[in-house]
Amino acid sequence: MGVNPFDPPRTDLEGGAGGGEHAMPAEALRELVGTAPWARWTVWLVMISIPLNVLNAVLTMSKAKTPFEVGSQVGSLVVGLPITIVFLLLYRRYAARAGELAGGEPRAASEVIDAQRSLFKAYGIFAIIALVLVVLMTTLGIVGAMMRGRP
Amino acid sequence: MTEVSLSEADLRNLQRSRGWARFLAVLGFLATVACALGGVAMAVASRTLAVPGGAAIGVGAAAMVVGAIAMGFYGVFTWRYASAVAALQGRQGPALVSAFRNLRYLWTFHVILSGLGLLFTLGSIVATWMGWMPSSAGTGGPPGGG
Repeated sequence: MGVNPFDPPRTDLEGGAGGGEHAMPAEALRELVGTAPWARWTVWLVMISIPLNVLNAVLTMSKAKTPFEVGSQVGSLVVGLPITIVFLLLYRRYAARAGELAGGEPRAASEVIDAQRSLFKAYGIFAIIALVLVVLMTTLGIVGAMMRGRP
Repeated sequence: MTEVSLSEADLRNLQRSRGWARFLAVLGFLATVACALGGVAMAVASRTLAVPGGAAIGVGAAAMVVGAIAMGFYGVFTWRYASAVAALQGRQGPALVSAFRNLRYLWTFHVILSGLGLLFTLGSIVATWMGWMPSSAGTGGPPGGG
């Protein structure tokens, strides 16, 4: 199908391609495609960071002098590794879709937007969990200190 | 460049991401204030308290200030993304450009932070290996290799 010369010009998101579709401005598309290399770099950096963090924990544990130091390293690995892996998967998904978009696959734009929404949501959920834990630990610390202070 | 269309579902997804982005931006601003206050408190403590490891406290204070600046940038980019997506309700093309531009800034900034985190981990490994730091900084690290 050719372009009808009598159709009004399509602009930004105001006109639309019909059927609830809205044309994305070329500059917006360039910006979205511009995230692809950075997402790829993020994936690489996170992949490198995982074995380095494990090595760091093992080294620290081997030189630890108290059980508390060993426990804190084990704890940070048990909590930190799964979180890092979850985010690595989300970054990989975004990077793959953004790479497809950069390669000229227009349908990938929807998946890039969805992947970014998932990332923001995951950040938000982990932030809420972290906040709850901080409040819980602070409360426990204060209550513990008050109990110890009692005669 | 290929012409790309956004469906109503895409616009809904963008709007859904806005709430989380706004929430994360507010957390970023709060973390900026907390890090800045912590950094100032540590700097004052390292100068006034005659405790062993004063230099280490000074380094910690500097790290807190760097963290405050990083969180500030993160908060600003995320806030601007959320604001641009909010403006999309009027179907403005420039708002979409601004949203994706700030998204690109966020990813760029994320790579810089992840790189710094990786360097920190490497430094920590070397310091522990050489025996300069018998009990090293935390591992596992925040998502993003930091």
